[in-house]
Amino acid sequence: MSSQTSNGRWLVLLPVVSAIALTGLWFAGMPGTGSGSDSLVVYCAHDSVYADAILKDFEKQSGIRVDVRYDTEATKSLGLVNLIVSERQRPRCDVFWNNELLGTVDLQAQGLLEPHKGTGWNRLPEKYRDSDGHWVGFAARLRVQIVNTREDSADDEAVQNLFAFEPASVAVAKPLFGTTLTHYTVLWNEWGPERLKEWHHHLRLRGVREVDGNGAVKDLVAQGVSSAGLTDTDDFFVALDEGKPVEMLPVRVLLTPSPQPGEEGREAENKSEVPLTLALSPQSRGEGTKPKAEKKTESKTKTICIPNTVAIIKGTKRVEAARKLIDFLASAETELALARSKSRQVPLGPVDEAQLPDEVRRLKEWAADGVDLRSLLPARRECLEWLKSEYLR
Amino acid sequence: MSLASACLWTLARTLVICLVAWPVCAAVERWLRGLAEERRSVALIGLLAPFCFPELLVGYAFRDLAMFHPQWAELLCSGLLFVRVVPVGAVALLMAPPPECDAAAIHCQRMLLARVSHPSQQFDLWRCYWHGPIKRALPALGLMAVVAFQEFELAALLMTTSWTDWFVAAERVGLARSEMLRQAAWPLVMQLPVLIGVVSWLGHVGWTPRPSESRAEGGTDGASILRGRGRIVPRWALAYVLMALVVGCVAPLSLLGWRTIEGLSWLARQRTQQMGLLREMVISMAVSACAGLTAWTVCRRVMTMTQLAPAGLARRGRVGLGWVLVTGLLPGLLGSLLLSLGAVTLFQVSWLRPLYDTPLPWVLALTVWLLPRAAVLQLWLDAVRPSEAVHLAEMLGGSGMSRSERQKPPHPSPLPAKPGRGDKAKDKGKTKNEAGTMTPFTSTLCPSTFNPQRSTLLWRLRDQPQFLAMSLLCYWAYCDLPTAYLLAPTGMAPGLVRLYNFMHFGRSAALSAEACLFFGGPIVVVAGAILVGRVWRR
Repeated sequence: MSSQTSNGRWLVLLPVVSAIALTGLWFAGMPGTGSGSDSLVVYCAHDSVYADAILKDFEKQSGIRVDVRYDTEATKSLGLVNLIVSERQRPRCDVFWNNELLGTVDLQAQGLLEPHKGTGWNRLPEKYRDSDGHWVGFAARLRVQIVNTREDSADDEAVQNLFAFEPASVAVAKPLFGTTLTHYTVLWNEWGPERLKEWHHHLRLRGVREVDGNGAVKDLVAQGVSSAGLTDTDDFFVALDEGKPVEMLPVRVLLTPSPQPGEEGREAENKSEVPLTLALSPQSRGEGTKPKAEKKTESKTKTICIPNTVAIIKGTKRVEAARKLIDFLASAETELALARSKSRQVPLGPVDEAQLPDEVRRLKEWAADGVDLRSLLPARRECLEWLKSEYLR
Repeated sequence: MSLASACLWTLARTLVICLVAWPVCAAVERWLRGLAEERRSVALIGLLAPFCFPELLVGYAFRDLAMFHPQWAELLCSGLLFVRVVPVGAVALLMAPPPECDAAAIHCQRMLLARVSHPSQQFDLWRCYWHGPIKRALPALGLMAVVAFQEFELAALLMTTSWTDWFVAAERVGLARSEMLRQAAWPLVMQLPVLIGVVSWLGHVGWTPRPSESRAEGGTDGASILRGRGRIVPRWALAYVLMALVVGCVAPLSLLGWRTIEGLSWLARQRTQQMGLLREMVISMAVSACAGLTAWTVCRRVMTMTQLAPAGLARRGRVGLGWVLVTGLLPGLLGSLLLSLGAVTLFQVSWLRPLYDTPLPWVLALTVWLLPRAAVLQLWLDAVRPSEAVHLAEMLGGSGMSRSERQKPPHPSPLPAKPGRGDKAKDKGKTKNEAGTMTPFTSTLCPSTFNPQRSTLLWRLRDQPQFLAMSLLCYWAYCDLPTAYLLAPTGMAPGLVRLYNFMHFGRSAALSAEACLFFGGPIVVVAGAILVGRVWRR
């Protein structure tokens, strides 16, 4: 016993001392206290590798300290949306920088956002902002098909055939989260639930490689393990910068025109005849491939262009600082910085075109065809419920 | 895959790993017992290194391999888990109390059965097996199963099926808490029998009185019976330990190796990045130190009480203390993921909500998670501590020690003693004090002046092992992802989550460098503290 009693005192003291040190550390870094009295709490679903530099610039320019909470790559954005919802009684987040749009629209629908029509809101097109100023979209990414070009060329028809007949050589991210969820929502809306479910089951039954994020899809295709996959432009550029043999094609969704009176029956008949090869774009019907086919089907197909969105959380005590951050993020400078970053995000508002990299100019053309995502919240909710029943049984 | 299927898959993997790992554990344990004290310490470090090596780093290093050869991912994950569970099994076996029915008893029973073939004799033989090797093997197997079943980071990074994945997805998608808790019944039910067995074993080891005979030299323990008459070649065990070291530690480091050096030179030029990483490390170290030291202290107190209990308490009191132990250790054995999900739910209850955005839930969850580990470490320390030598060292100089303290007998270890060569000499040296109890004669002779060698000796014998065990406990807390991921408050961004986030993007030089610094930092701090302490004592 003596060995215990003699060092027993410091055994009790050590946790106490470490607890005091921890408390001090927490107080020093806690928003709203001490040196950080003006610090903004930002929940950020955007990749920290890109967002960090932007937020640091904001800190330098405004003198406002920012505390950021990031989500993981695998559960991008949805984790933070749910966190904000769960904290609605006692919000700790001031500004939410989402890397997609529908989650933010969901928060708006739940009355969790504070409107602000600032300089950023004014410069962005109608399609990428809320009319009441609850959120504003900026710097977008596109959903693309990434193709390994070591053996095959980046041909839209060939990729469609892979999806239709060799799903095992294709990689996709789990659609429960992030931009893949937005992609599924668009398909849910345009194709209807039945066709999306059929396509999804077809892919899974035939062994599609389902991974935990778009980054993993990019890796698989870049290394040649999978021949093609669905990912985002920023992930594609990571592979390209590493010198991997990859090429991208925009995901184009065939829009179903609103049926005219009396045409419902014919429409349904046509839909049922649509083969699974039409999963993503019309080119696989044999209408030819890009760029001719793109022009030919311009009116019928849309790309999936997903902007970052930023919003103020209702109940924040740092409204002024939050507004400053929103205006900063939605500014032309930030859009240009993100366009010139490794992620090559597409500016949505007017910017100096001469300063844009060539790749971004090409993406800008694709982004002009983007689906209007603002009205897709009901489709997203339904689609997510279905996906939950698929993956979380 | 549904949760039920994922649970069953994980369970099947766990069973296969445990069954395959069991003979290896037994062989390694036998090999360890045969080693001299100093060599055994080195061997133990080698054996435990793959278990203590950060899982995140292992998963990150092997992620590309698993991704590009998906057909091998499951095998790779199982292999890496195998390397992690063998040390657990071997150490648990080493710590296990001697079987109630040893090899000699079973041999006698067999001989009896050969002459009198009666069903009751057959039953007795089976009872012998149950009270002998089987009862001794079960806790070790249980601990191995718990480690394998609760695996999180490896399964996530290698993209293999695991029930933990389901819960992470459910948490992120925002599944209702009630539904999550309902679904948690699956892994809970699967683990509970094993967990209760492990906890009762921990309690049993904790207050089992020390038998006088040695298990170390007889070679008639349960493990040898389980192995039958076959002899295990120690070289195989040594070969296994070397192989495990290569697979579990050297290979991950070398897979990251060349890019790490490249990344370090990049990091050396990034001042902001350095400061960010340093801040994250300090935060993680503070939280882990707080949780680790609290767990250690709480465990020490409770175990001291339970060890003292049999002498002073009636049966009812012992049962009560047993329940305290069970309720204290069981939540920790559920694994950090379920524990953290529980903590999130708990701290979102309205009256606890003010504490939600503080480090308290994080520290609390880590402390509870660490309690079983702290218990195992303390039992282990008690088993290997040379109590008599520590007591004699405390007598040296007698500085700061009261006469009554000097006259106290050495602390009785709960595990069997190794007979020391000096035992007889020690007995001869004892004299009777005024109260009539035996005390070592050094206490009657020791001068009251300070002996500078005393502190060095005490440090080596008593404090250094304790310091290392506490450091290990803190390091486990430092490396635990689910608690940091789910419970870290705003403003205290844990580096672990950021690294885990980046690891999904694939391997890069900068990330490898940051990961190595993050995981290597605390080791350098502990090594530095030992070195400074050594210099200071001189």
